[in-house]
Amino acid sequence: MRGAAGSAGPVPDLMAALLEGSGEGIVLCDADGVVTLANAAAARMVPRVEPGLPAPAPLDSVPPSPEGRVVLHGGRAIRIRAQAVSGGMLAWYLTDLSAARRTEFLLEAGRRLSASLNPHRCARAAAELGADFLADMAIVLLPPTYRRRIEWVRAVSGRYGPEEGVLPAAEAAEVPGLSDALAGLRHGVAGQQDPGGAPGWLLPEGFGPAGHLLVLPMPGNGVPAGAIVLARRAGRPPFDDDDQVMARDLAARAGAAVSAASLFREQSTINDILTGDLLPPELPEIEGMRLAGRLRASQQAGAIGGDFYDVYLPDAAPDGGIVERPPLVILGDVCGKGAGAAVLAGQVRHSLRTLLLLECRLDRLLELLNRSLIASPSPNSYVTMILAALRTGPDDHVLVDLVVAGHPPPLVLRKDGTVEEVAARGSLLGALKEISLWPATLDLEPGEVCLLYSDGITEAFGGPSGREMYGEARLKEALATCAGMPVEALVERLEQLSTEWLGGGPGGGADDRALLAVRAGAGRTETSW
Amino acid sequence: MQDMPPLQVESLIPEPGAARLVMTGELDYTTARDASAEVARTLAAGVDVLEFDLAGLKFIDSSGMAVVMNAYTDAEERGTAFRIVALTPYLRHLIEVVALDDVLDLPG
Amino acid sequence: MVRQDLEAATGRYLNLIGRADEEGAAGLVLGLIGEGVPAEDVLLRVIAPCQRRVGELWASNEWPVAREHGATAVSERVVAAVSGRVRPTETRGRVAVACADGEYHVLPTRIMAEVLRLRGWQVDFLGASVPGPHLITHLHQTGPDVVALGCMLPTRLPRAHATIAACQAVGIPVLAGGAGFGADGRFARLLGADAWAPTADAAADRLAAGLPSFPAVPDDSGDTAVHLGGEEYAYLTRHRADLLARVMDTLTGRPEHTAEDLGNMADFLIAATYVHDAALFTDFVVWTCRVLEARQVPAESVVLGLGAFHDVLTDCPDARALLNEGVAAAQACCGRSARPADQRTETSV
Repeated sequence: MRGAAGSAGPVPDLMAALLEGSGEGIVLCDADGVVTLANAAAARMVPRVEPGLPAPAPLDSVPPSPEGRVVLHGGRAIRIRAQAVSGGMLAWYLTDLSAARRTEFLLEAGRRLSASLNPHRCARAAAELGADFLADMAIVLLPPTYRRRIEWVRAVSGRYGPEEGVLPAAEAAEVPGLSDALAGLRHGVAGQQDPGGAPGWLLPEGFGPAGHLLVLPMPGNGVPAGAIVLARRAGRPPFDDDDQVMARDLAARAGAAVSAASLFREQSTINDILTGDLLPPELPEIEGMRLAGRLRASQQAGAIGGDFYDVYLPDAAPDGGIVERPPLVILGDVCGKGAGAAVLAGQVRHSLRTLLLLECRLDRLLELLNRSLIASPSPNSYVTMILAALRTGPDDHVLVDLVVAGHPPPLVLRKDGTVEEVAARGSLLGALKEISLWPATLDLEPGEVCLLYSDGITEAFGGPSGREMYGEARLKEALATCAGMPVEALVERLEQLSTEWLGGGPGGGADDRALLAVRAGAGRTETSW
Repeated sequence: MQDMPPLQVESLIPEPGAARLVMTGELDYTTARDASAEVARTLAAGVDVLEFDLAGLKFIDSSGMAVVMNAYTDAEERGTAFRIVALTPYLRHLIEVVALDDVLDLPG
Repeated sequence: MVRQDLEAATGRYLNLIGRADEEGAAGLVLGLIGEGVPAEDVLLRVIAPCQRRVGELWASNEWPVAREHGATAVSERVVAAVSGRVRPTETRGRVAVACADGEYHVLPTRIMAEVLRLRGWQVDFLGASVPGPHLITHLHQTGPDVVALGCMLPTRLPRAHATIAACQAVGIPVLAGGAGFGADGRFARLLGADAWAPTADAAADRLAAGLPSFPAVPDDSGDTAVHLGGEEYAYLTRHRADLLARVMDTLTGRPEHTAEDLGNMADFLIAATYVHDAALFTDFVVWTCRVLEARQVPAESVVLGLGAFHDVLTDCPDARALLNEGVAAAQACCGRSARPADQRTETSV
């Protein structure tokens, strides 16, 4: 508390504590108009109040009266009431009228603008905050795109849901100060404009004429993040100092939110482009059979990992040097997890696509791939995989030529519901200069299924005890219950069973999991029901 | 139990010129780097024989298998003999799946 | 098309999906649309009721599980075919439709997505069992107006709760739908969803009426979120595996108690503990008794299983109270199963 010792006598400690704790500002001055006491709340509202000095503005302009007066000072609306006290002294009582609304605004602005990492949602939140707290209409304009168009979001107080639209960048010039604000050439309030010249696009239909406009730039990460225009209807009070402080605050927060969100969008777009190739492909229709696949990446936010599958259809018009071959499906697993593993998986898929132009012998393909992996400078370039060439045979049979490189061998679901493990195996790739392969060819009758899977399925830890591995035996048992199912339902069920095995955990510990099934026979299912 | 590191690597000298790494716990994506570092240190010390005792491994994934394979190839390059002196049935199964059972020196 | 025709078509459709005849089922449905039946009616009055019927046929052991899955897979592809055939213009906002984490019953949610699309929404359908981080990443990337979250089994409620809170924290309101939220939607309200709808068309109506563009502040002073979960829920979740192992030990030599059934029992108990709702548990118990009876396993085995949990959970008074209610419900089923099926009366629990 500011008190001038000697002029009004020392204030007892208790009194001092009481005054200091008051939320209302209290200032006392002597008969000469010199301040003798000012509590903390008063000093906050009128910083220039100083014991020993004359009472500063705006106190000096408020005469004693029971109802007092509301004044604008330092961006706040303050109700000041002056009252004569004994001995010619004068007391002022100050109430900060802005505090409640401002506190609510700050809370809401913090809550809504920090929520989203989507630029449009941020713009929308800013427009709604503007319309809720400051104006009858608020419109947020995002920086012009490279097509010279401006996306905008507009909210009107009391109306449900904001509107959105797009505007040619040139039209922004119709609002004085707006082009400068969007270009980041202005700081603070870019203009409290004469609304006479407001263009038609600015205000919503049925809004009526605007009385007051406020244009503010939204500062971003060194580059402008857009601009906000606030409008009040004709006949409403103009934007006072306090409103302008709040509006600047809104614009600054909205700018920070929009620019963070734009950065996120940019990076996630780049991420999507880079990872697009690493996602599993759509499975094509192949005559005489049906494919279905499932891939789950262990990584929480990404969809990519070390497991992969792919389908290579034959070249539509093979010419000189390009080999003819049946469709090929592959499923594999590279060492490791996450983005690093996904990059290697992508390289393997691309290498195979290129190699397939010149080579169709499966064992030879794997030998070439092995050599390229051994030559790879990155450590741990180990890959396990299965190649399966799909040939249609007589009587709607499908013949599957299989080579297996260090991967769990495929399972076969026979018509009678029995499940077999294919007797094919071979070395994993990337470890040894010479690999050994023991290939096999499968004959699938219509309705029979060949299932390729990754060890993430069988090595899922969970079950009743939470510590047990799912294992090959359980997978075989589960597959046996799928006799007669369409192949999409089959892979979905197997994935579901393995997920249920993993149990209620957050899934963070789970490995990547891949399933790819080939079912012989076209569309219609041959069932025993 | 909770306070133990997921993987422990103990280094023994079963005979002069030989080093045996006894791995206990989980050899996976999160612990493979530590295990590799231990292998590299051991090989750099210049031994004639590198042995792995893997009977105490509760879990191994592809990154863990990579540690074993890297040890094999690095040892071969240096002319160091590499052998696995003990392993679990499941690990033996995994080594068979990747068809390294013919290449690696495994206990009988 | 008159109502009777549609009913006849529904019977034919069930027959076709029961044979996993995708071509036939798709042909029938696209034929109806070609004749002028609105796609929404086909989805809600042909496919959806048949799918409910498929569930009943499995429960009553008339269809084996493979046939149930086959029929469902065919319906999923038929819904996709409808989606490919009818392309409404997008006149409304954007909705992200997802199944709760761990929820694999995708078809009802898929149908809701299609109905919303038919009503002019721009729909992103994210599929079965969407983990929270995937969903939130999608929300940041696309900025939809609302999330429609499907949950068919109440055992997914704890994770659905986390997802609802996460969506709201990034400023997107959530519409909850599906049987998992309770036939009356009481769990949707309890978990703080901004809206609830019992059916796909009700969901479309609710969204058309408008949701708040920003979710309300969670009311921490109220009687909702604070009371969800609790000590026993945390204990049961953390020790689920140990408890199940101990329960299985006490039931050795009773082959009718499969690990899967007991696991379900534990999960429903945990969910009921989470939302403090006895009916959630007793409904499950009654349903289990019915499913087991259809497979010639007497309801007494359910009483026995519940008893085993009761014995093991010595330190969980709330869970034991739930188990007692479960036992009472199962015992009521035991008495009932002696009577012919069509004379069964509903026991109020």
